[in-house]
Amino acid sequence: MTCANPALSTPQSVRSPGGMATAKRSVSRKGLWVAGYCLAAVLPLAAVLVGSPPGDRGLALELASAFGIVALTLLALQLALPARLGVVARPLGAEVAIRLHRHLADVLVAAIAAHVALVVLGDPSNLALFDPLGAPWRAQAAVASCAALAALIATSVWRRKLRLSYACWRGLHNALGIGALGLGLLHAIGVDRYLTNGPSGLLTAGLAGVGLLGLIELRLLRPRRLAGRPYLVERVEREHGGATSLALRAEGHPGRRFRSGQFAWLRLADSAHALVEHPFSYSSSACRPERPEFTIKAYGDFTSRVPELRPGTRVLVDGPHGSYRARRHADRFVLIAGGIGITPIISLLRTAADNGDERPFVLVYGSLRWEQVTFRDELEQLERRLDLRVVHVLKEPPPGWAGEAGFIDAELLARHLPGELRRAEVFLCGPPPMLSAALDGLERLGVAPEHVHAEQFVTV
Amino acid sequence: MHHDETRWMTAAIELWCLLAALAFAAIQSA
Repeated sequence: MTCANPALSTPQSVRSPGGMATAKRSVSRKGLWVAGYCLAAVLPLAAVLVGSPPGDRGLALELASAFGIVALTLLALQLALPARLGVVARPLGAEVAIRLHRHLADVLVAAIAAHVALVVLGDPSNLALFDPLGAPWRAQAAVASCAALAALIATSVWRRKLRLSYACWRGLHNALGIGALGLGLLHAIGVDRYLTNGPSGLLTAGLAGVGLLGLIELRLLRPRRLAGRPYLVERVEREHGGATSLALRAEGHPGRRFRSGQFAWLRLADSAHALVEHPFSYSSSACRPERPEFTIKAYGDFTSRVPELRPGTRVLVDGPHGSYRARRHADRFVLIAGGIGITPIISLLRTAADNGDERPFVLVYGSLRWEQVTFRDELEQLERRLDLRVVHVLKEPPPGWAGEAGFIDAELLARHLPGELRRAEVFLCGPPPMLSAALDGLERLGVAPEHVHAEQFVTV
Repeated sequence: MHHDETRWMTAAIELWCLLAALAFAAIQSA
């Protein structure tokens, strides 16, 4: 059987001739996307230049205004970036969009810091604007906007330390983001210099509208559409290592095609949990989109409840998302997994087996103890169906263990993958310490970064 | 080691915004 949407790059039998071109197309698509973003980020600034006469306030204060306008624009775009809108998510991949959203928060903070510093440097009497009691409302709105942003960043960076559940954090994140943008716009209206008249005012309002629409799409419209394409829990199976496989069946529709290595946001359809969604990798073969499976380890409030789900429970699947896949046609694959990071890898292997893929695979799989090795029985079966060699690495091996023990590092990889690494496409998924040790190892062994596809799993 | 494409994207956007702000200030204060 050959499925139309295979894992990895396609096997020989269905290979298309444009392998390397795909990588180039992907880069140029992302380049175009960045160019579009850059254009949007400076549109209000350009509109001010067109619509306003030169000021007479000196370089520092004009630069302060420029950074303020850019900051407000970036803030509006930040709301739209993670919204999984087709035009944003398709060229980038949803996980790349979220990573970019995090990195651009640094750029936003830098723009705000430059704005504040230059306002004071340009005119030291502006220090009075920071007097909490005597400052005009426009300055108070700006301070409140910054406070909302600071709270937003603090709750994102220290979510675990603050013991915020994922659902609670998301609600807070949305509210603080909208609050910061609203207060920032209020500040611009109060300043009444560049953004309140003419095309620049309209553009800024338009960008804020785009941000808000992104949020409305993500939180209201999208869930409503997904509710029309539900999935039912078919089986709930305990796996080794404290994981649970959730087998779903598309109800009244053919299911959405996905590629191995991609992920989806799952949420229970009942109203009590309608706002709580969590991202998980597909663990099933991409050849059966109507019966997707997710293998989930109990870490937090939602994941701990997965084993208790009953067959027939309605689940909404927002996916597939993610661009975790090979960018060229390789003739061999090295897969490195740690713990529950095996889930996208097992999907790759199941799909390869369903496709009759004859290329060689080596899986280096790190676990704590032998009895905790998730999918260990199935991996034995897959070794018979595929040209697959599995190297188990245990952190706490049992007495008499003849296999590998310790960490997945350069020495271990060199022992098991002599000569294979340079020609291979390498996929990794696991917890941060394992990933960084394995990535260091691959670097020392001379594997080119563009052939390494790493995904860090996060616990939510 | 891992090729994180968001780094060049962020750097490009950051540089572009900085240049745009500088150009704006230079024109407005000229």
